[in-house]
Amino acid sequence: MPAIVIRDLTKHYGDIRAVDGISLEIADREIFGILGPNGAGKTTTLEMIETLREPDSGEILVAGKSVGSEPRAVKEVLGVQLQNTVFFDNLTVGETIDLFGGFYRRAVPTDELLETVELSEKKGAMLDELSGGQQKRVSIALALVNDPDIVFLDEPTTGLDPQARRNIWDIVEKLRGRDKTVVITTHYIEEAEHLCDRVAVMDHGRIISLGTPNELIDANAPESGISFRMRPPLTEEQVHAVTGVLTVSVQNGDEYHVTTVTPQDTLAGIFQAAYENGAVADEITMRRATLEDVFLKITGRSLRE
Amino acid sequence: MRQFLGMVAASLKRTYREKVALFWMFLFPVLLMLLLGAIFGGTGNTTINLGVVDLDRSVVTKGIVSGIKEIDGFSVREGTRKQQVDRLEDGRNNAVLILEEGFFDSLKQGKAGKVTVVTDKSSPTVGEVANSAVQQVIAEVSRGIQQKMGMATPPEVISVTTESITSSELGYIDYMVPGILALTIMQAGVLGLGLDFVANREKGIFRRIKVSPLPLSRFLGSEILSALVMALIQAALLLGVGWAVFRVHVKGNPFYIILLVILGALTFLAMGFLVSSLARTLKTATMAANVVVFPQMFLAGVFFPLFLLPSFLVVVAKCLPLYYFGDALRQVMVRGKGLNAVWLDILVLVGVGLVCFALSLKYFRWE
Repeated sequence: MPAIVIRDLTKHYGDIRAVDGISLEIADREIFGILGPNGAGKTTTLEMIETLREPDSGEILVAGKSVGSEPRAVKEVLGVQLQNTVFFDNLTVGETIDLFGGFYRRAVPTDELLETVELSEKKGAMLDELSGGQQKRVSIALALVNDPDIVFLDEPTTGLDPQARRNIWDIVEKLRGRDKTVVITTHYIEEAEHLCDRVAVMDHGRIISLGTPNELIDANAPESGISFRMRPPLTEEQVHAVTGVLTVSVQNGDEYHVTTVTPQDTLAGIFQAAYENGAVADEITMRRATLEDVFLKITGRSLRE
Repeated sequence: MRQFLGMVAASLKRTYREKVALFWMFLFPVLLMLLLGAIFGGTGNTTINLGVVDLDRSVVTKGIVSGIKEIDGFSVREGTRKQQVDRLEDGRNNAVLILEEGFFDSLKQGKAGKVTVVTDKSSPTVGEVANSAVQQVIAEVSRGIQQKMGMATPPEVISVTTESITSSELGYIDYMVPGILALTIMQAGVLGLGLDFVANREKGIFRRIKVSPLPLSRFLGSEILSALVMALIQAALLLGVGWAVFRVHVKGNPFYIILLVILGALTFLAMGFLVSSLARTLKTATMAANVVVFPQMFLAGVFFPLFLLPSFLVVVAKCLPLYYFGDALRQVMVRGKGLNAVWLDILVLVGVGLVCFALSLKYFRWE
């Protein structure tokens, strides 16, 4: 049984179509990413699954149960981290987790949760004494407090420094090992590529592409880029003749950038051409397309705009 | 149930750690009480307040009344028997003189005229002074009138029946302490939980609770229970300090007092919730809550008895729920009356509470 089934989901705010007819299945124990720029409808979609917002139309099943008709049963198996990290004032980390544990029928022991998010030594600290990354980890601990089957993390690393982001990724990897289904929204490409089994790319309330990161790249932005320097330089025509080269651009007389869908053949071809012309090829770098390129290709816009 | 108590405990902890709130909830009312008590608590009364009730309305009795009015040291006030005895109970009269019907007729028949003097058992000296002074005055005045009219002087000019009531040992302290208690509970209700609610709503905490299976109403219930616990602690503290320092009279049934404190706390919590439901932001909610609190603080007669106020302000005071809460606490706590004696106060509090609660449900929002 899929963890989550969404059919024809829509949500309007006035004239704005925040979510515009989404259908989606998220498999059990999958780490699923929803990638898109701000305002794409990621959070609205999540909040409808989490029972925070009523859809205008469409159906959502969580673990086979309808969100519309059995919200309490759904809430028991969901773990939710909301985008904005908020806590009660004047409670310690441990007290906060205890309090939220009391909201559910089953609760994971607080010490165990703190170990999972690596905050055991902060149990007695007040929440406002923690760093932003540590607070995010507390909110992830709260999302796990009922030992949920399905965990929602809404932009868990937004605003964090690279080290704190790595910590969060490690925690998500731990969840994979515990057989949980995890749904993450993000606008960080690396995060989606690093963590997610499958990714849905959203824009203007629609899913514009869906698949594993590799599938998305192969389908939408299959070209790799290769940059190199050649001394003495070759002519542009000579470079263009190399196996598999699609486009060529030249800078500073001897710096070339080519695109190809067969990077291995093209690399061999570049060395072949250098050998044949008595030239030396160096400073070679290769860059495979990313989900950023996929997004750019489909929408014509950059993700971070 | 254990979970629910856990939530109450967490809520109490949060309040306990909010030092500024603690100051306003506990220290400030105690300081205010000590200050008012120190300034106005003295009972030094040099004049004797005498209530006079003339039921005979004859030439003689009118003469007696005007004769008494001329004596230094007496402050005389005329009225009905009920009015004047009530004033005695309130401690505003030291004694009440009642000139019974048929006073003049008795004199004309050569018998003693009937007079009743009501004094306050609990301050016997003042009562005694009043009693003898009154009898002396009446005797003189009526003897003069009799001689003037050529009537035979009876051996006893008047026959005095002495009655006494208890309870007018009450002083300013006994008025002020229940008032401060009412004020404190109102402030905690309107400013405390209601504003906390707006702050948490603004922060988005309720959204986080809403994605859990816990009904938000149960969470609110735990917050209300913790607010009631706080109100009872406030009551115990204020009465404790009031008794230790000023010997305030607490002779009401403790169960009734607790019941009234809870009722008042609920009424003002409902008022606070109404404010928090109507206001969009913490800023407007704070302003609105102060608009609710301040007029009541100064106009509802919590610091000083209403009879000290100009009459139009008395009308204003009686429009404010805090007046009824203060009155109920005073009657039951200090005078030891039963709940039936304050039925109007209770009715007003329940009514205001229910209306506020119903309206706040109507305008309620979680986010």
